[in-house]
Amino acid sequence: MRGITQDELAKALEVTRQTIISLENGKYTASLRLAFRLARYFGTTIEELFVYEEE
Amino acid sequence: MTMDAYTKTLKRRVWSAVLLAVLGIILIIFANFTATQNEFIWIYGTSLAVCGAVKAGRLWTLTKDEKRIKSARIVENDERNLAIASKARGVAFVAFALLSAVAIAVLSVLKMDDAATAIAISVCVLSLIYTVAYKILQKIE
Repeated sequence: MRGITQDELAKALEVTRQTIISLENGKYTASLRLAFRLARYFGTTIEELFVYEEE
Repeated sequence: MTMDAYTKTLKRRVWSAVLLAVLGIILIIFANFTATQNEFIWIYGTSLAVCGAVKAGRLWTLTKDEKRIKSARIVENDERNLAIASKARGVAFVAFALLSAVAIAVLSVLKMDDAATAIAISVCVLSLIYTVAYKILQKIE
């Protein structure tokens, strides 16, 4: 989205690279706090970044 | 947690580890120089002293390296890691309860009633602590 590496994104958001990988793979659901931080980092909204699926 | 707060936490942990090592040394001295010459206390003291010293040394070197503090803080506060740790604690609790049930049954068959009772009581106490903690956290959070 911004042409950055997973490592750079992880450092910017102060999470581990594994968390970024898990988020990308859909294996981990971000907390609301992390979702907001991600959205702010990319200058977008949570709805643009994440897709909510009814179980 | 800010960097400053985390560094302070690390320093506190260094002192806790030193305290553990000192306690271990006291136990070793106690085991060696008292009339009882207790082997169990000696082993326990040695374990505490070694673990405490190793932990203190590891943490102390960590506090001297800004870059490592930063990465340790991230790893420790990473929300996925915290979620995994919480899940692991839950699994450990259930596994402990199940293994205890098996142990109680086996010990009862072997007529080792005292040991079976001790395990049963520890499971009950743990369950009670869990329930009380859950109720308290439910009100606080």
